[in-house]
Amino acid sequence: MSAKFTSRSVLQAFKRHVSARANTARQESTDAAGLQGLQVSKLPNGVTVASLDSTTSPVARVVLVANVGPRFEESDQLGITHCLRVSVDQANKSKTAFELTRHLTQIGANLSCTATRENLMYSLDCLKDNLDIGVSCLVSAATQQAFKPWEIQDCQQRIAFEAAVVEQQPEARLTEMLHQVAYRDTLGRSLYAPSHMFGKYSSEMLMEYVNKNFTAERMAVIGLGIGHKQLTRYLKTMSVPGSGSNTAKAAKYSGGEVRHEIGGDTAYAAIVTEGLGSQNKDAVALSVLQCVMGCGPTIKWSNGSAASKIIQAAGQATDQPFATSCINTTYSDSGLFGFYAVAQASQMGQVLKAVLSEFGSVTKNGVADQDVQKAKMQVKACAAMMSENGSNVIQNIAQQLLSEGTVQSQEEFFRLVDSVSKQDVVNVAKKVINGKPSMAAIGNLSTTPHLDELM
Amino acid sequence: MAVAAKNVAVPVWRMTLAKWAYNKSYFPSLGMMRDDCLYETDVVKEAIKRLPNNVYDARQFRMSRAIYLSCNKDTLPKDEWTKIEEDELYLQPYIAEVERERDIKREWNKQ
Repeated sequence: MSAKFTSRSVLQAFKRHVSARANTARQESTDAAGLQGLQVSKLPNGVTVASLDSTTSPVARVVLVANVGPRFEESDQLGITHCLRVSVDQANKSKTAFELTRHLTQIGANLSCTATRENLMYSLDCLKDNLDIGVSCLVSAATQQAFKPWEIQDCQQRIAFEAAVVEQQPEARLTEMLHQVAYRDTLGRSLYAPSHMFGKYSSEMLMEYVNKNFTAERMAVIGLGIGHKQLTRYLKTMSVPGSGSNTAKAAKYSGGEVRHEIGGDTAYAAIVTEGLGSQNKDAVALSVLQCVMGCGPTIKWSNGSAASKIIQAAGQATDQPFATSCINTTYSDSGLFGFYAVAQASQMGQVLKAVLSEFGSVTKNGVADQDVQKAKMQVKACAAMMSENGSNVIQNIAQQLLSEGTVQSQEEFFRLVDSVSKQDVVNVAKKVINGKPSMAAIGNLSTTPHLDELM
Repeated sequence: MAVAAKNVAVPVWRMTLAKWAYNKSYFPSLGMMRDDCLYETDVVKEAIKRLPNNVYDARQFRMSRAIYLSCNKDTLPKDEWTKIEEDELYLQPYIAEVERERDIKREWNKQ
């Protein structure tokens, strides 16, 4: 079992690998990508259930997603989602930690907990025959947490370890800093626990957080490769820990600048403005704009200047190694759009200025038709490649179901992408790029300009 | 009364005998509770590790006081002795849980 952490975005990372690992994976995905036969209903306790059956693959995946994430933390609960995530393998009301582990290993299943800033996803992968035990393990781990005080104390070390691992990665720290400066609270809360909270999470605190936030309307269970009646039957005895309704505080974008000097050879910086939420009608056009600007090299080990405008621009400003990519992070009601750049410490100023001027030129001079066409193809290809993997498909369905209430099929998404015109892209560029900027920088910042020197 | 964990009807003569035996025991005169005196097997050691901080601190205090009194071959004044009604079997739930976990492990490892 593992507890992973990812951040949600439709197109943030280009998956260049087409997964041809096993026939089962491919067949599972072809059924799933079309989303034919996706059935959605509500359990008597109020939880949404969705299932997509597939007869060709012996693997079933079930995801229990709760709209609980760092976004909902109060200022005295920082990092509690991190603690919640690492305590997935601990004793719950119906099984001890030992029993949970042994049941799962006995049926050869994987149970993991993934946290995004808005959602907590408990995912189970197992064979279809073992679903009864698998789903009972999943439901007990996700909704019947017992939070035994001595086990919570044991997982504090794990929290400290994960935070230390993140501390070693400037790119991860950059993302956290960027969100913090852009949103302050709600979406600005970090995915990882701050050091002043290590050892401070108590059983009562966690229980209170779960009872407040794990409510029926903010939870959904999605099954891939399992029939609807079967899934509903397994979930009959599920009880929801929370009650009452708890509306999310709207994410307010503030903007600003944060810098962290740690020395070294390289500098990492990200500059963004407020993007669009996933429910915004222009969100697809913004994805196209992201690909117009450039999402990194499309050919492995190439320098990418043929594919990416900003790599081309930065490549003309410096001859030393660098990397830059356009960021488009989408949450349910807000987003971040901009770029990040990594360069040698002495070259950072030139690189940032070159990339910024490229963004500026899009708002002034517009975009070329062929760039828009290329970008649309890339968006569609990226979405299609991501849906090759069953776990991506189910996580995508889970997040859409919670934030929008409906799930968009791949054909619908492709149609939306095809309907984006050059004017849409230019309009959304003008709307988004001219917003208030936020900047985060970490590394050797000796020549990295401040935000006011760049704008 | 903490003597009977379950709600079992205990005959009056049994209760009287229990009270007399309790007051004749040494440990209440040192201010200890019964669970303070349990021999520390592995199970009991694990259960003690799981005590909440305040319960553990109270246990430590009673044991320290008892050791001091015992060293001086002294006891507490009669009105400060632990009374059978106040004696709480605080460690039993934790012991039961540890035992249960061990049984589960044993069952699984049998197969």
